[in-house]
Amino acid sequence: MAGVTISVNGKGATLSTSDGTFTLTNVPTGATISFSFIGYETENVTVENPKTVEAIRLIPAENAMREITVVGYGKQERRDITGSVSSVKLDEQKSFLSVDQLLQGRAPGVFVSNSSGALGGANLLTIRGVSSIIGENNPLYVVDGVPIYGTDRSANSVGTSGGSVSAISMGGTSTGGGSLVNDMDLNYSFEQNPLLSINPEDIESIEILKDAFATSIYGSRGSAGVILITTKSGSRDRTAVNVSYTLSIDQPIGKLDLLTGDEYAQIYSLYYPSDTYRSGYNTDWQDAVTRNAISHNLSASVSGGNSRSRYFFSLSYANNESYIINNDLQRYSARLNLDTQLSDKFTLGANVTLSFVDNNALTAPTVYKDAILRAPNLPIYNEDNSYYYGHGLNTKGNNDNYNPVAYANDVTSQSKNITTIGNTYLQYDVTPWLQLKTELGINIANSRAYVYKPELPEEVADLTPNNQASESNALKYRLVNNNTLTINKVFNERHYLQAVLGQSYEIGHEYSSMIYGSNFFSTAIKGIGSAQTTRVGSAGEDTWALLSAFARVNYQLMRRYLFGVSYRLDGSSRYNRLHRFINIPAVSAAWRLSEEDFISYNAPWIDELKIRGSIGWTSQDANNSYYGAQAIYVLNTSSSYGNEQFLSMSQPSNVNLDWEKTITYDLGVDFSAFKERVKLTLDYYYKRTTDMLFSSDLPAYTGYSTQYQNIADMQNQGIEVQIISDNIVRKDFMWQTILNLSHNSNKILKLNFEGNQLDQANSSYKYYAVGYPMAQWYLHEWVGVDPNTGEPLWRLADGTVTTVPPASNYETSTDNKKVCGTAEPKFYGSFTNILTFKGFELNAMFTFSVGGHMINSSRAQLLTYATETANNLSRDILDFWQIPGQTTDIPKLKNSSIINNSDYTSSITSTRFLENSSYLRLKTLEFSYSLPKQILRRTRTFNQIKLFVVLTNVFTVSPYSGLDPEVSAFGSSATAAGYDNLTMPSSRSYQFGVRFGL
Amino acid sequence: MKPILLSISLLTSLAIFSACELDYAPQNTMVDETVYKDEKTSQAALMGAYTRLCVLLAGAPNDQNNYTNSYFAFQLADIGTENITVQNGASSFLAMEKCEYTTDEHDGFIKDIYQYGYNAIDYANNIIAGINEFGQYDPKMMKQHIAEAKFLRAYEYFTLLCLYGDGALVGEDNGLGLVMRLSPYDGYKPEDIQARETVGNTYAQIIKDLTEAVPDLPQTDYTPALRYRATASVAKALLSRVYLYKGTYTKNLTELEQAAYYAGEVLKSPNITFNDAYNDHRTNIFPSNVYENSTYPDPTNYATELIFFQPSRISTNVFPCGWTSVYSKTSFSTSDSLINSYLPGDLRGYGETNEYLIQQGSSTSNTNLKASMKYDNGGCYCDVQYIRLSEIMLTRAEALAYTTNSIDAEALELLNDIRRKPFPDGQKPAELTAEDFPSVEAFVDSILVERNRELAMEGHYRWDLIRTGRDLKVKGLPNNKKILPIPEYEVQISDGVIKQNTGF
Repeated sequence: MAGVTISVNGKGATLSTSDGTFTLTNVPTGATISFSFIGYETENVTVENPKTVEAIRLIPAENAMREITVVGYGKQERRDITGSVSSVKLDEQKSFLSVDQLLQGRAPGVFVSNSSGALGGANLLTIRGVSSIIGENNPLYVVDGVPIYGTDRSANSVGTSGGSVSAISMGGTSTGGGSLVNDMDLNYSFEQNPLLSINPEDIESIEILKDAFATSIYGSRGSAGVILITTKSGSRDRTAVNVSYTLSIDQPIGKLDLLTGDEYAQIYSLYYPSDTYRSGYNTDWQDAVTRNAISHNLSASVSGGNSRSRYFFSLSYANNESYIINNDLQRYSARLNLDTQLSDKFTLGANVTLSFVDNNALTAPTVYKDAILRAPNLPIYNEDNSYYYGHGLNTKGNNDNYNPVAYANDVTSQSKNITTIGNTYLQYDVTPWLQLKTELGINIANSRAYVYKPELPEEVADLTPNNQASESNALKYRLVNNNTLTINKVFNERHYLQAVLGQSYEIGHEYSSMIYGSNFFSTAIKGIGSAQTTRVGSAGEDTWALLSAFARVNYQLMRRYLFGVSYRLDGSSRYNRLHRFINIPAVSAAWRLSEEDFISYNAPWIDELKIRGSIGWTSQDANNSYYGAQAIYVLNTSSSYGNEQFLSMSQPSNVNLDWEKTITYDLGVDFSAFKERVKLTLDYYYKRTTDMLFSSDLPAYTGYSTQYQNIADMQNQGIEVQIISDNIVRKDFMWQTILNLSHNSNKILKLNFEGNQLDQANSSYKYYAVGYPMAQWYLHEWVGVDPNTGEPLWRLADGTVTTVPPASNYETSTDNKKVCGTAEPKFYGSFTNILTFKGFELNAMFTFSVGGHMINSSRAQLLTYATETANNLSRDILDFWQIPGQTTDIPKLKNSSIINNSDYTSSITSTRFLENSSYLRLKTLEFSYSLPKQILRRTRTFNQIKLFVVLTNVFTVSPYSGLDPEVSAFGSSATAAGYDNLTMPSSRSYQFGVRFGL
Repeated sequence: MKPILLSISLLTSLAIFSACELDYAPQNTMVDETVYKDEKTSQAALMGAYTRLCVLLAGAPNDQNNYTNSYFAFQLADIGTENITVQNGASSFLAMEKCEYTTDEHDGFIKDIYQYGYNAIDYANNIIAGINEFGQYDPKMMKQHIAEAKFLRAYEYFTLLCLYGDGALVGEDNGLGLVMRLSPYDGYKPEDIQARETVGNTYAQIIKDLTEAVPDLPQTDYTPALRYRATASVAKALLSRVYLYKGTYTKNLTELEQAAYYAGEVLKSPNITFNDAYNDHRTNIFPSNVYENSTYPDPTNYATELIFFQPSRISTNVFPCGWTSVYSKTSFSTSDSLINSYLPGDLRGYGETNEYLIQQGSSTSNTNLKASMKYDNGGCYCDVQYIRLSEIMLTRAEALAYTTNSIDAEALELLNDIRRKPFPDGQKPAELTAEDFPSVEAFVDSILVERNRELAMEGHYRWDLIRTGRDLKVKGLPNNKKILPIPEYEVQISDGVIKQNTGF
């Protein structure tokens, strides 16, 4: 053990070296040598033989929490922490595909929502609310010191249209204000989960850095929070082998109640009396494309070490099926963590992981959606067992709607991702209390997405997604070099100084290309190079770099008064030279009251009471586009000026472009009592983000109308609490309860020149205005159905109720909209109970979210019958108004809000489809049994055998009428959250597993 | 071993440190540094700046027209004058005619034209600054490119000055001119808001740019087909227009002498020549290179009198001219007043045969109205004449009449050339002689009448009326109402630092 203070008769202190040895000279026989180290009981040894002293084993102090917490560029004891950091202990049972799923309900202030049931799809994760409008709101993930590649929506979306032109013009209604139904980006892209490359089994611990003091050491990338992932390492004591296997069965959490073929024919015949809709078939398309998905996860690791070296090696294989037919995902991963002491002073090590993810589940969202919308009176197969395409004898129907079963089986849409994350380091212990460390990290992400849509039979050859393919290749690699100097020193036993001083350089190269091919001569030909028509969509490389210097000093006086200062300087290549560098300082202080006499005497039942506070800045490089500060010229290829080719400016220069800055105030209490039976962590924070990028008007004399400027301000404030209570602790029985509760509220303080803006940030039809939380819905008010006439009623801004849909009047449409709330919940959290009896453990985790809203665009689409696509409908439509006096919320089929094929009643920009998405969900129910030690000892092989069953998404209580209140059609985007757009619901899964330890 | 390890670690760190670089340029796009370094890309940027002038004046490639092709600076010189009858439904054109503007116009064409004028100016500013900073090619070519950009900037400022400058055409040098932008836009901070310069300063900048450009521009004129780029003659032609517009109202002899001088310089050019063929207007000049039935026009068929024009011809179907509704007469038509100003038999007037410049136009839309054939046949793809010799001849004639205060013989000859040309031999009116004019004023009036007969629908008339103190279509307006107001948006966003014109 290094850094142990060794003194003789209370004088002449020295420190032990990294291998734990020390040398003292002139020690008289009979002298008392004391060994002290923070967190350990002081050991006193009387010297009998002055030449050598037997090995001393320091015992951890009884009351001290030994929990070591990883912080930015270092480690600290949990009790020494002055910032706000949540640690998540890894669950041994459940098998997760990605880390973010694992974090749901595990830490206060961390909001996780499973965006869809699509295998390998990205989820929504925000820490302490949304901190940028234009920029990313995903936290920075750092794996063993290597930041991992872009986790935002745009960086992980793969195109699945497969064609050089948009393949299908989707059904739905023109709604005079935009409709998500027609959002091509949603229909033809799949946002992959960037965390898939990390095998959760390899993770030792996860730390979530939340306040400014904790995150500011990550500088310009810290404002959305930082998630530090530390992987396992071996133990010097013994060799351990762990093997686990999990079998999972997944099925969709629910099924939409749709019309049968006969009902479908009946409704459409009523609406279009002159058309024919022959019934006869009653195909349940949902059943046709879904299944009980079976997945296998196998993971094995071996770890160990000797006095000089440690290793951890793991292999894992996951074969997951989607609940959509013919969609699956495989992951292969390997990890080797190794460190070795070269000499007394030098240690070197490496953490390397290799992973290969083969995602064949990219068509699942499209198949799911098409299956729901497909007319149920059409068969799946022709009589000769070939697929039945088109809309047959139905007069109307979506000409472009592929048979979803055929789509799932015949269309190839896959993405292969090879990722390497590695970190090598060399550490030099100059003195026991001073270390130098140089690290070289690398993250290589290579992905290839390929979509192939084969030729169709001649009679349906005009279906557009036909005989074409696309391929996108991306190679991204980044190198990180960190050089740090670390000091850990105790002076006079009263002063404890911990400091890290460092420098970092990070460079990223991102190459990508997109190629298209169409008109393949034969379905046997799959390579785009062999297509008869080919096209290059894009190809090129971009480079960026970040140069940083940082420092953090923690000082403790008498274990009671803790102070911290941190500072980082970041310089980014994405900014103009004038604004390239940013300073990010933070300070914190804590007072450990429990060390004071007035507490320890008067309230000895208190184990730990610490009040801590911090203030500091973090920042965000919201400038997503490369080179946002420079004027960019593009060659015009479609016309010329006379005989000359010409350039036009795609953007003017913007030298004022600057960083977004967030100042965070955090006040927290850490408390534990009754021999640690009750632990409480409480934090209040106030975050004010200034200089947020937002598009704003310019004086016309500049020659441009709008430009991104650093002008918007916003605040987030919230409270988060975690309570862990060991309700009952007996020899064989334990009952523990964990409560996580978080509240965040957001408000825009300043916006652009106009003070409000509709749908600027993305295509999700949200509204931004000063004084309101960001990303509001801005909707027309739907009143209901007039029981006397069956006509839909709308309320205008002045209160008038009318049968004329306000969206139909282009001039006044916007004036009649109103602000209707956001997707962000008022409270969210989790409630977990763990019961242990001998080898049995029962763990039930409820997650909840209160006060959020969702646009049920699924329902909107399933109530849209006035279009030529004649898609299937919700059974709710059968309640349509028929006789005066009938109370229903479905208007009569032919009503005055349907104007020339535009059905304003099914517009998602009305309050008709805005619903409360609060929920309480039994997220996981785990039951496990560990074989007793006595039996294991008899095997002489195993030291652990554990059997477990885990049920996920067991039940949900929610006022939301759709299938899953957690979904978000826009994946990980926090500002666009809150749309259920026939999004695949989460699955209910049953896992059965076994874990062996040798 | 230790020293070895230490040095290895130090070396590694140093090696990585030495590569610490923060300047990375995009690979797929060009930035200032790469564009203005070489002649080829620099010139392409300059051509981009020419297209921005077209956006302001009379139409540009489809993807460059950031607003609907309804309002261009070119049209505003004729709409609101007796040359044009506006249809009842065209509310913005009616507002222009009445010179009374509502929010619709302020947020519409008044702002659009203003903004795109400045956008064109910004392109020119980028070229001037970019070449000066990064240019590494033949210094002569660099100078020429800068000179062309200065020419463009001057043309753009002059166009905006005629439209928005308070008193610019009536000699009020202290009136409110324009916000002067002489360096590239590179970001906005509210505290940097700029106020308007005076009319005098705006003129000074325009004249400075043009006179600085003249020596660096090509001294030889291009063949007619290529006269879409500036040469010394083009800059001089514009100078004669600038001086004439500036000096007429106050009869400032120094300025008018300059107008006469520069017009005279252009007339000396051996390549820009007057063609007196009676059918020259219809066969060579108007409409110029119409794109019809998917066929490309003959690029050799260009009149020798062309000086500077908008070249739609190569990109025909993607480079529309802005006069879309001339032929269809949907918003406005050529007025009877203009038609009646021509002598009988004048081929520039109305006639039923294809020889005339004013005809029925579209035979399916608004058949009772008349259309100028200076523009296309409805497809809206044709070249647009910005400057041609006839204007310069009439400018010289007018300027000479003022400066000599006589019925100057050269002026008279120029007037006769223009006046008699569009009549076939045998039908030409008799040559005018000095005796036909009772006074110099009558002579000037006659030149002005001829100027509109010749140049109607070519972006001149309104400015001729204002600078000579005459009424627009609506009678009795004070001078400060004859121009456009500054867009209300600009006054608001600048918190009043940018002042509204005195008439509004």
